[in-house]
Amino acid sequence: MKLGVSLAQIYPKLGDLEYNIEKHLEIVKEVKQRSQLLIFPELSLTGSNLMDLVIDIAQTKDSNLLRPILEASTYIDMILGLVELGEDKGLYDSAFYYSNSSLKSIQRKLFLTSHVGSLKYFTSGDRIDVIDARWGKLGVVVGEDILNPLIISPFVKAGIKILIIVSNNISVGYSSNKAGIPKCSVDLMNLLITYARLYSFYIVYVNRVGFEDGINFFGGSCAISPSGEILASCPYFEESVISLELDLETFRNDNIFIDFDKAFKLVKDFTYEY
Amino acid sequence: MNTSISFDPIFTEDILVRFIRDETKKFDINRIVIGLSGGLDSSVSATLAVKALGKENVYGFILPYKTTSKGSLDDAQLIVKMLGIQAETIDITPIVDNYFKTDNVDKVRKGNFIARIRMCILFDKSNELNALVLGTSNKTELLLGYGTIYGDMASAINPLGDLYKTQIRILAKEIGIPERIIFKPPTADLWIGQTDEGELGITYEEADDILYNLIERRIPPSILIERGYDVTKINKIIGLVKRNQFKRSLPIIAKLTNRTIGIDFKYPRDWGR
Repeated sequence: MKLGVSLAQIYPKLGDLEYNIEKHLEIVKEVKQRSQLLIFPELSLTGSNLMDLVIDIAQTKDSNLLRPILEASTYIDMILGLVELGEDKGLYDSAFYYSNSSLKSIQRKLFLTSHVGSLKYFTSGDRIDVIDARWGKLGVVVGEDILNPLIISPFVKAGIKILIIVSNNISVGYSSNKAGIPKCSVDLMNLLITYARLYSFYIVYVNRVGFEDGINFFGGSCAISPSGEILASCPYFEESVISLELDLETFRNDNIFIDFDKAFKLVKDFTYEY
Repeated sequence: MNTSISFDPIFTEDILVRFIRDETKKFDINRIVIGLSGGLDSSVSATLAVKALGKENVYGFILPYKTTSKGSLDDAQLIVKMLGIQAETIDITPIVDNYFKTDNVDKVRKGNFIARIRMCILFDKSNELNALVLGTSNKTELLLGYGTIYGDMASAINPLGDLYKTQIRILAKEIGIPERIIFKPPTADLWIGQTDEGELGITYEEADDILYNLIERRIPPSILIERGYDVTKINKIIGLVKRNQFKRSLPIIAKLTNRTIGIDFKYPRDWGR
């Protein structure tokens, strides 16, 4: 089966939830004919450098403000990012998965960094969810969580077909490689290509663009095949929506030789006298 | 500067041009005013602004005092001509001299006053022309505090604040700034014979090398000294960076509530934009 996927590399308006919801709905209209899954970046409804806005802008999962999004998911499955006010009053950097007029899954960011103050303002999530979509299993990773090497394992064990990374990656550094790609994104791209090949799943990476108080997000969203080929990519630094089809039939799962359980036991039992 | 640092001026230029375009558009303003001193930084800032917004949207102001060198004025005119921007020269001598009444004034005091009068004019012009004031302070100056707070350090947006002086020279070459401007000794030109390096007692190459290692690479001073860096210069630079932290901060407020501005009332400037 072929899955139509759209990557929405947007520039959200910082702290303007209503404006950003409208923007999301416009993109739904644009791609719903050709895609079954639409992916927005991390914090796509809110913007990134929020500071105290984190508290002001947080929404509970059943917030009325999100109702238009919920309704739009009748036409297309959607992954988007927002500040979630949890039942425990925690404030989470969350990716919501909407499908068929319901909120099917929430993936909260698990490892907070000092990145744009996320450590100060957010609460860290403590659960990895595997989404059972109608075309197969998929996993969602929020931002820098992907840099933790162990995070991949539950997804591999569950046999996902697509790993989705939504992010707010920042352009840092003064240089690009020969192809004009920011140096700061080259390492990440290499990591994603390696993961896709090693674990035999598709990777869809959706980053944002634009400036917030001088902070610059580089974009470069892309889809990578299980053989490590970049199937489609958005430009760097420009807003862009791209659509492509992922051939899920060609999916092969030949990574069963990776014994995560044993690895985890070894990590857990590992002691070292410093 | 340490040659191992890779600096790609074309890539950097692209980001800075996008920055100027983006951060002006957000405020529904597509014009820039900039003070042109004839020096490297204002020449580079102005050129980036023209690339971002077009020459018709960049207004240069040349604001000489009676001690300003002819060379500086000529170089400022050269940039105006090169960029084809609109420019105006306003002699600030009457304003400054009318205030002090005498030439027998401490040169730093007078220099700061001159820098702040220029700031007043630029912000007034920004209001008149519905424009934003484009900053020209580079990272070396900002870190060392080599600037006048609420004077040349004041601006609405600053494309150069994360670039060291030696990097700006590389960028300048890339964007076609005349060599005469790139290679002349940097000066605030606030009094006759003043040069940045003379006042700081260290060259920009040395300062940038030390700052890059201390700030970007976070190498402890003790290690740098072990590696053969001059202990006096290291200590001087660390002293300047610390002592001038106030120039990089907003005025501090006595905290009385749970939501003190700047302490626990923190919002991005691009809030809702």
